[in-house]
Amino acid sequence: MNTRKFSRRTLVRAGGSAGALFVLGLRAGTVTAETSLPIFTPDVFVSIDATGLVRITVSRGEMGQGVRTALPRILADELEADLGRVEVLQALADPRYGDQNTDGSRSVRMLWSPLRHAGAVAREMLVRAAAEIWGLPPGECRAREHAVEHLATGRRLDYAQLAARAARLPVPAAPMLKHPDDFRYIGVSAPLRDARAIVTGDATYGYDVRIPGMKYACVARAPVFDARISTVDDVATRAVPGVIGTFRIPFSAHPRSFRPEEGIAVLADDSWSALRGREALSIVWNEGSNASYETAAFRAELLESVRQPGKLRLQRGDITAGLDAEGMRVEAEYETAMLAHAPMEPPVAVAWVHDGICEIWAPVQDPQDVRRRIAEWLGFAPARVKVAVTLLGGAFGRKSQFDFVFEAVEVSRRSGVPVKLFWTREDDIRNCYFHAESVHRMEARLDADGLPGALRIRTAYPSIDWMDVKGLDHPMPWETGMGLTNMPFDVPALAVEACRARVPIRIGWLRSVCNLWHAFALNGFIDEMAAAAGSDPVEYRLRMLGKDRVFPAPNEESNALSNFNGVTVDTGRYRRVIEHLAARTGWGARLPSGRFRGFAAHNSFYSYVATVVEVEQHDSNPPRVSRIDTAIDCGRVVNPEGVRKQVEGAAIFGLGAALFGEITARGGRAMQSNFGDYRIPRLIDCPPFIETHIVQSDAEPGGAGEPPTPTIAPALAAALFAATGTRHRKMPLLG
Amino acid sequence: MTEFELNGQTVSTDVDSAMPLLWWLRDIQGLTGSKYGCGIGACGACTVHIDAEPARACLTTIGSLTGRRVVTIEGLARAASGAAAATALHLVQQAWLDHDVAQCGYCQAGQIMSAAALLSRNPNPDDAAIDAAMAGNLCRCGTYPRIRAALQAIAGGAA
Repeated sequence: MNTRKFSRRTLVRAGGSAGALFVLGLRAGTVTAETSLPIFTPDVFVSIDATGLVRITVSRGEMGQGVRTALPRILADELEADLGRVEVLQALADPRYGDQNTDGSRSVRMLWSPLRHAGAVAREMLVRAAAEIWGLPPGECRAREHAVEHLATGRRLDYAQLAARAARLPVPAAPMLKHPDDFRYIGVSAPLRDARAIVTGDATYGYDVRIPGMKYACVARAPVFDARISTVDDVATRAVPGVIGTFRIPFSAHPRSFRPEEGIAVLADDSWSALRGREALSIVWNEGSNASYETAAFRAELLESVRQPGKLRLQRGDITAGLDAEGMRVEAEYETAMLAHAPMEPPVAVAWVHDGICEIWAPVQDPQDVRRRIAEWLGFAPARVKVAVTLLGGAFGRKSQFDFVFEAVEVSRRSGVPVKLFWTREDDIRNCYFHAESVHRMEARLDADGLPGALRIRTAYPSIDWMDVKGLDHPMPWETGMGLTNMPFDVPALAVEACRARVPIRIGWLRSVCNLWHAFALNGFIDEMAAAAGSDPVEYRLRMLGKDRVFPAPNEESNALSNFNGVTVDTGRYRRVIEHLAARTGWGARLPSGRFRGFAAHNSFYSYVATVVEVEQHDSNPPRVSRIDTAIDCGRVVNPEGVRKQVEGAAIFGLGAALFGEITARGGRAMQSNFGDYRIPRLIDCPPFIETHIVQSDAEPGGAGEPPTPTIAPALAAALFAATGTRHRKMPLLG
Repeated sequence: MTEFELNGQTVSTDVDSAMPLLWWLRDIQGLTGSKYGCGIGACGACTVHIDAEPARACLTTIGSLTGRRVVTIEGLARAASGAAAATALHLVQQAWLDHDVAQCGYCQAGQIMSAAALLSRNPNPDDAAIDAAMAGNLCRCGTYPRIRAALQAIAGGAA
C-alpha cells in the first residue's frame, strides 16, 4: 500500500461518514466531529494528525473481552506511541480491515501480526523522515516515546513534526519488528479502556443509541421454530396510545442463515407503548412439526442415536479389534443440557433506511456479514449499507446471529423512520439460538498398563450449520473438531463418530461452542478410566499424552478459524499446563478434612487450559465450590490483567452451566423466559477464590475468552465425585 | 402531571402514570445509564436510588414518584459530593476503576448503584452484608470477584 493512494478527498469522505454516524449517539471512546484530519495514514489501522495525535482503529467489537484495550496497545508498542496521545476509533463494517468477525477467541491472534506490521510501518517512516531532516542515515536514529531521536546527540523530533514528511515517503513492505525484549505495552497489564465511561453511565451500548426521530419497536415472533402466522388481529394494538402501526416480519425459507423468524412488529413512540401494543396483539400460529419437540423425548432420541454407528469423523488404528481385545472395558454416557447466552444486554438494533441507504447501529459480532446480508435483503449495493458497531453489552455468541438487525431494517424500511428494535429478556431466552443439548457414548478397553488401547466416542447434537445447510442431521467435522478429533492423547485405536441428530429448535454458538460438552465428556471419561486403572487423574492424563509432539488437527474446516499456518495441536504445551497447575495447587497433597478436588484440562482456540475445582463439604451439608484455579497457556499475552479477567469470567460462566444452566422444551417452546426460571450465577454463587495462573509462553497468541470455560464443569464433576463418590455424567450437575 | 426530583433537579411529566420509570428515563429523558436487563426486577441493571434507597426502575411507575427524590448513575457522584463536583467520581465508581471491575460493563451502573446504597447505610460492610446487598445484581461476564474485592477494599478503608 502506498500513502499517495490516500487522497485528501478519500480521507475526508472516510472521516466524514464516520463522524456523521458516530456523532449520533456513540460517545464512549469514539471519534467526534471536532477531531482534526489525519495527515499521515500509512495503514488502515493507524493515522497521525498535525498535532501528533495517533488514531488507532479497532476493527473488532468490544463485548467485555477487552479488545479496545488490548489491540491498540499492540500497534502503539510497535509505533513507540505515547498512549496518552492515542485516540481509539471503532471501525465501521469495511472489508479493508480484513475479517471483522468477533468470535472464535481470535481478535488478538488474528490481528497480532497486522497491527504490529502497521505500527512498525508507521515507525519506520517516521524514523526515515527524521533522518532526512537531519541528513543522517536512518540507522543512527530510533523511535522512542512518540518522537525520533538521534542516538549520538540526543536530538529529538516529535511525531507531530514528522508526520507530514513521513506521509511523502514510500511505505516499507517489510518493516523491522521490535524485539520482544523491547516491548513497552505488550505483556504489561492495562485496565479496561472504556472503564470510566462505563462507571459513569456514559458508555453507549446498542440499547442506548438514540438518533433524531427514532421510534421504538418490538416483535411478537414465532413461539416455535419455523411456526407460521395463520391470522392476525391488531385492532386493539393500534388503539394503544403511542402505537404507530404494525409491520409483518416475513417468513424466511431455509437455508435461512441469520434471517429472522416470522412475526409482527409493533412500532411506537416509546418502548413501553410498543410493549403494551404487543400485549394487545392477537395472533394465531400454525406451529408446524417442531411443536412436538420435547426435551425428555429428544434426549432419548439422541441416546438411541449414539448407541448406533455414526459418521466417522476420526479413525486411528483398528477400533473394532481394539475394543474387542483383552482388557478391562469402561463405558459411560454423558449428557448436557441446552443453554441460552442471556447477555445482560438483550438483542437490539437501530436502523434507518432512507434515501437509498441503510444505516445501522448495533451490538453485532460480525459487522461485515451484517452489511453483506442486509444489503442482499434490501437489494442495495453493500456500499449503501453502513454498520456502526456499538459497545456490546455481552454477547457470548448470541450477537453473531443478527436476526434482530433484519427486524430493525425491515420495520424502518416499511415505516420510513429510524427504528430501535429492542428485545425483552423473554424474547431473548425464548427466541435464542440455543447452545444445543448433546449426548456422548464413550467406550474404552484398557491395556495391561491401565491406559486405553482403544477408545470410541459417539456423539449426537443438532448442528449449528442448520442455518446454511438444509436438512442437516449430523454434527459437522468442525464441530467434533472442537474437543474430540483434536484431542492430544496418544490412543492406539481411536474413533470419533458423529451420530444422527435433527434440529428441532434454533441452534447457535455459545462461548467455547462444542468444546463445552466435548471437554465435559472426555475429561469425565478419562477420570473414569483412571479410576478403573487405579491411577491418579493427573498422572493418568500425562501418561495418555505420550511423547511430546505437534500434529495438525484433522478437521480442515477449523482452518477457517486459523491463522498460523493451519491448526496444530502441541501436546507438550498441553502437558506443561497440566504440570504447572498441579505444582501451583499442590495436587496430590493431603487436603484438610472436608475439602475435595477435581481436575480437568482442555485445548481449544490455540490455547491450553487446566483447572482444579475445590469443593467443601462438612457434615451433611451439600458441597459448595470453595476455590477455582485455572492455568492457561494462551501464547504470548498482550494484557495479562485482561487475560485474568477472561479466566475469572469464564470460570463463573462455566460454573453457571455446570451447576444449573438448563433450557428445557415442551410443545416446541423453551419453558424458561427470564432470570426467575433461567438461573445464571450471582455474586453469592461465586467461590471466594478464583485464581489465574498464566503459563509464560513465547508461542503466537492464542485465544483467551473461550478456552477457560470448558474445564469448569468436568473439574467440578470430579470434585463432587471425590466428595460424594457419585459420578456426575449430566450437565447441569445439580439438575 | 407528576412532579419529582431527578438528579437534583425538579422535573414534571405528563406521561401515563403507569409508565415504568426505566422507559421514561431512557426514552423520554434520554438518560440511558440505567439499563434494561429483565423488566421484572430480577437482574438489578436498572437500579436507581429513590429517597436514598435502591430501587428497580423497571418496576417503579412514574405515578409513584410524586414528591420523591430519584438519583440515577448519571447523578450519583454529584448527589454524593455536592453540585460543584461535576467531574468527580463517587468512591464506588473510583473503586470500580481501581479494581478494573468491568468487562462488557452493561450491568455495572446497576451494580454501582446497589453498592453505593449499601455503603450509605453501612460504610463498613462485612462479606455477608456485601453478598446480601449485591445478590440481586446479575453480571453475565462474571465480574463478581472484582466487585467483591472493590467493596472489601472500601470497607477495609472505612474501618
